[in-house]
Amino acid sequence: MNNRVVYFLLAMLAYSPVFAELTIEITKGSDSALPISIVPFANRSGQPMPEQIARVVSNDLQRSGDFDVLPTSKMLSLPNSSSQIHYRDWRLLGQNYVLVGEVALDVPTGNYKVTYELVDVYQQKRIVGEVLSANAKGLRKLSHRISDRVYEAVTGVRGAFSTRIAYVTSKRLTKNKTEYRLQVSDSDGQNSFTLFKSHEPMLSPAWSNDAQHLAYVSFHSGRPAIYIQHIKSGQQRKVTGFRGINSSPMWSPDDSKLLMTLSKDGNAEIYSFDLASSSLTRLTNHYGIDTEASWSPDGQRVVFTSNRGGGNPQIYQMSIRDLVPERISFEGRYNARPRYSRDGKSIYYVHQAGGGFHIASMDTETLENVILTSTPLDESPSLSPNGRMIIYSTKLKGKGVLAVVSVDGGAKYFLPSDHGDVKEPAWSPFLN
Amino acid sequence: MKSNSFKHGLAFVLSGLLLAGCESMSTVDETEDEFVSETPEEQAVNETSGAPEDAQVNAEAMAAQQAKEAAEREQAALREVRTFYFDFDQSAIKSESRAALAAHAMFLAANPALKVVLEGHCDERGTKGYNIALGESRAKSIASFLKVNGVSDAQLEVVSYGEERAAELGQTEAAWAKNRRVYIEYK
Amino acid sequence: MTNSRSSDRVAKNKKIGLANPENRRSLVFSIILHLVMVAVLLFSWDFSESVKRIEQPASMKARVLSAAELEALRADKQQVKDAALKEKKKKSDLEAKKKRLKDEKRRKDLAKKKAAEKKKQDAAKKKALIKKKEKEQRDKKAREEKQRQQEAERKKREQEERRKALEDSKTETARSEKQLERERRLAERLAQASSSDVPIVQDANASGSGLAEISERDRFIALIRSRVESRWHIPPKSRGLKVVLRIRLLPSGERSRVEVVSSSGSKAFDTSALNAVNSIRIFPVPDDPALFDRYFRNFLQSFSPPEE
Repeated sequence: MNNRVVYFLLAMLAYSPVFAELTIEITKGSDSALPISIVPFANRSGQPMPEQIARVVSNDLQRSGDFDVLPTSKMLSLPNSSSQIHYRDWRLLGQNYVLVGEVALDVPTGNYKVTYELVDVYQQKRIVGEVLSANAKGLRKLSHRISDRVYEAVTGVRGAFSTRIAYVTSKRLTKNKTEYRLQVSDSDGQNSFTLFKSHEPMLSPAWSNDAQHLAYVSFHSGRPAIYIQHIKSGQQRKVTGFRGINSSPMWSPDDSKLLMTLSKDGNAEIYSFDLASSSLTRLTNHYGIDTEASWSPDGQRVVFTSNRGGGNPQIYQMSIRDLVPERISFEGRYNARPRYSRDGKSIYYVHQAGGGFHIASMDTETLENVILTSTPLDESPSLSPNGRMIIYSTKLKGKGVLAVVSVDGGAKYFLPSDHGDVKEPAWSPFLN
Repeated sequence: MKSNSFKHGLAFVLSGLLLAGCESMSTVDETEDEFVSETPEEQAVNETSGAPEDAQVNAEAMAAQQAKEAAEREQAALREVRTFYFDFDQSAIKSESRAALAAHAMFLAANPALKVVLEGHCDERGTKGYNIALGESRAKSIASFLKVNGVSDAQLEVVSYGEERAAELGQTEAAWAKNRRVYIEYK
Repeated sequence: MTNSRSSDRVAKNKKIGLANPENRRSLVFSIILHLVMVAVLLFSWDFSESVKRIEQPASMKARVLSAAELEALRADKQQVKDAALKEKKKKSDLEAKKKRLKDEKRRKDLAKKKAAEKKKQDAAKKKALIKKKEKEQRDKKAREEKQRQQEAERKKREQEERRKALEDSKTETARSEKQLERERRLAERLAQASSSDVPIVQDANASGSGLAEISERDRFIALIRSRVESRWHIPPKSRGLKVVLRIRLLPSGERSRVEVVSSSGSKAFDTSALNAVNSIRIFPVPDDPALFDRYFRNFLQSFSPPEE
C-alpha cells in the first residue's frame, strides 16, 4: 500500500521536468544524401575551357553517394564568389553547401588560375577557399583536388578522387587471338594509359603502398610469372617464374615483401618473397589449395583462400608469428579472395549466394557479414584508400565492366570501359 | 600330478576360449559394420573392372590381326578426345573420361619420346586466383591418371590458365560446362 | 551359493579315514556324493561360463567322470575348487574387463555423440544467430525502406511547399515576410501532424491540467525531433560521436540562436548537427505562452548516430 504511494510520487517526480532543461535526443538522420550545389565556374580566361571543372567535381561528389548535387537548371542564380551568394535563395532550395569559383588565365605562364570557395548555407560562411593553378592538361587533376577538399571539409573524411585505378582489359581480336592490357586511369576511369600489352593473359595487378609500382601476373613468356613494373618509367622486373603456378602477388605494408602463390613444391601454397634478398619463406603447408593471400595493414596477420576444410574455398586467417590458419568464413560454400579494410577490422571478399557471386564484408571480430552487391558475377573487390568505396568487376550484358559501391552498400555506379572486357580492378593508395 | 596339470590346462584352455570369445565378439561387431559399408563399393569396383576384361577376352577370340587393327583404330579414335570436362569447383576425373585417357596413356607409354602439355581451365565463376589453382589441380588429376598408367613424369607438363581462356563465351551453364576442362596438347 | 555349501561338505568328507571298514558304506556314499558334487560343480562351473563360448563341454565332462581318474580327482578336489574359484575370479575379472571395455566404448561413443551433438548445436546456434542477424537486417531494411518512402513523401510535400513559397515570394513581394512565415509555419505544422510516423501523444484520460500539458509538450517534442531528423545528414565514420546544442527560439517559433554546448570533437560532425538545426528557420512550438516559456524558449538537443 505504501509502495503505491511511493511509486506514484516517483512517477510524479519523473514527470516534473520544470526544473530541468528539456533535452531532445536525435539519434536518427536523413537517409538522403547531403544537398550541395556546384555552380559552373565563370570563365574569365578569354578562351574556351578545356575542362569543365564544375562538371568533374559534380560527377565526383555525386558518385561518392554521400552528396546529392543540384542540377544547374534548378539554380536560382549563378554566383561566382561567396560575396555574390544570396543565402536565402539556396536555403529555399534546401541546399546545405554551395561551391563557386572562376577561372582566369595567367598570361605570362599560360597557366589557368582557378579560384574556388565552398560556403555553408546555414552558417552563412565560407569554409574552404583556394587559388590553384594548372596547365590545360592538369585541369582535370585540379578538379579532382577540389573534390577532395570539398569532401573532406564537409564529411571530415579525406577525399579519394585524386587517386588512380589499375585494371586488366581483354579484347578478342580473332577466335584464337586476344589482346590483354594492363591499364592505369584516374579514379573516375578517365585519362587511362597502357602499362603493358600482351596476347597472353594478365591478372592480379596490385599497387605498392608507395603507389609507384604495380605487381602482376603475366603469361606473356608462355608460362605464368610475377612481374613488378615501375609506373612512371615503365621498367619491368620479373620476380618469380617457377614451374607451376606463380599468382596472386600482394605487397607487404612496408613494400619489402610480396605474398604470392606458388606450386613449385607440389600444389598451391602461400609464400612470402623478400624483394631485397629474393628469398622465399613458405607460409602454408597443406595438400589443399592455399591462395589469394593478403596482409593486414599492421603486417601481423595474413588472410587467404583455402579449400583445406572440405574441398570448397573458404577464408582463413593466421598470425604471421605462428602461421596457424583459422577459418573465419562459415556462410555458404564459396568465400574467397579476402582483402582487409584500411583499419584491419573488416574483410571484403567474394561470397557465393543463391548461385551468384557477390561482394561481401565481414567484421573480423564478430564474423558478422553483409552482402554489398547483387549482380551475379561480382569479383575482385578493391577498397578506396579512404575506405569509403569498393571497386569491383562484374558483368553487364555479357561484358566485363568495373563498378563501384559504397562500403555501406548504398551508392553504386559503373565505370566506362575502353578496351573490351574490363576486370581485376585495383584502387591505388593516396598518391601524395 | 597328471590330472592336476590337466585341470590347470583345462582352465587355461577354457579361459583362453573365453578370452578369444570375448575378443571375437567385440571385433565381429566392428568388422560387420565395416563390411556393410564396404561391400557395395567392392561390388561396384568388380563390376566396372569386369566389363572391359570381358570385352577384351571376346576381342581376342576373333582373328588376331583383325582384332589388332580394330583395337588400334579404336585407340586412335579415343585419342581424338583431347578435352576432358569437370564439375564446378571439382578436379575429380569423370568416369566417362577414363577410356580416352587410358588410350592417351597407352600411346604415351609406348612412345616415351612424346611430350604433352596439360592445360587446366575453369569457368568464369569464382575468383581468378582460386581458379588458377583449381585449373592446376584439374590438370594434375589428369597427370596422375596418366602416370599411374605408365606415362613418365618427364613427358608431362602442367599449366593452368584459370578462367582466362574461355572456350565458350556467355553466361550459361552450357558455356560454363565447356570451359571447366583440361586440354591435352601434344608437342 | 551352491558352490560354497558343497565345498563345506567336501571338507568334512576329507577327515573320514579310508582304513576304517565301518566307513566303507559311507565311502561308497561319499564317492557317489563326490561324483554328484563334482558333477554339480563342473556343471555349475561349465554353466556359469558362457555355454555358447565353450565349444566342447560334453566331451570334457565325460573325461572327468571316468573311473580311472576318480582317485586323482578326489585328491585334487581342493585344486578343482581352487581352479573353480580362480576361474570364477578370472571370469568375473574378464567380465569386469569386458564390462569396463564396453562401458568405456559406450562412454567414448557417448562422448563422441555428445561432442557431435554439441558441435551440431553450436553450428545450429551460430546458424540461428546468423539467421537472426539476417532477419534483423531484413526488418531493418524494410523499416528503412518504409521510412525512406515516408521521408520521400514528406520531402515531396516540403518541396511543393518550398516551390509554393518561392512562387509566393516572387509574385507577392508586397506581402509582409512575417505573414508569409506564419502561413508557412501553419502549413508545416499541418504537414507534420498528418505525417504518419510522427508519434502524437494523446492522453484520453488526461484530466488534470498537468497531464494535458505534458501530452502537449510531448507532441511538440515529437514534431521538432522528426523535423530535425529529416534535416540531419550524418557524416560517414561518426560511430560513437555525440554533440549537444542549445537552441533558443522566439515565441513565434523562429530560431534566434544556436550554440554548441558540448562538442563531439569532430568538426564535420558538429557542423552536420548545426546545419540540421540551422536549416529550420521556424520550429513547431505550442501557442500557449506558458508552455512555450517553460520548455521551448530554451532547450538542448543531443545528436548521436544510430547504434550499429
